[in-house]
Amino acid sequence: MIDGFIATVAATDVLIAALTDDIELPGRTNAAVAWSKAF
Amino acid sequence: MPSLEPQRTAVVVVDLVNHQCTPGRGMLQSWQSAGIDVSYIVDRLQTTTIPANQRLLSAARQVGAKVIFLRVGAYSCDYEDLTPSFRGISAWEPRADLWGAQVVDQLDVVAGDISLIKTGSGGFYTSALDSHLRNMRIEHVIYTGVITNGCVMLTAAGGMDRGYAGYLAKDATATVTPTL
Repeated sequence: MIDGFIATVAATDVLIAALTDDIELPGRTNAAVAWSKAF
Repeated sequence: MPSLEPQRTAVVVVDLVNHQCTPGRGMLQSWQSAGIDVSYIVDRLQTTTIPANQRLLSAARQVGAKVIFLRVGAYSCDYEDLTPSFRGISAWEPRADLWGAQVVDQLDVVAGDISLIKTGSGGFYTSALDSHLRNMRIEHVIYTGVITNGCVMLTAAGGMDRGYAGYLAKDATATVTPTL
């Protein structure tokens, strides 16, 4: 339920890279879809 | 420009404090007494979670992102300021001025970091986290800490409701089993 809805879930090293470079982070999932998948 | 603009980003470290992370003490002792196998989380904390936090905090400070520690505990000597459902943890002595509620030794708290007591689970509801983030015009929040499916999740959920873009550093968190 966290992933894509409450927050983007990524490895620490990916987030470290995002603080210094323009990298593509995982997309945010449509909230309704993520919520449906959680149940 | 970086994907996460450092001046608009904060790392929020949830409950990596002594009474939550020390084998044989506090939360872990309590779980053991209840028959829960804590070997996974103990190993995860030492081999994965804490090293990941060390790397992330070091990088964040280097680029000028904010670092905020949330420490579940009480200010009051009788623990009456804890959220009612959390008063049971008073046996772990999670008080602001005592060892239990201090950040674990493996993580440095340095000048400029913000360290807040939170008196319940979700950091946005039970600490001054939101006020600090708004004052600093933070837009992106990276969450780490323990436990993933408890205080970390509720803090991240509170941030989502308040309009922050949230990121969970998955290897910088821990909980009782790998499936959670």
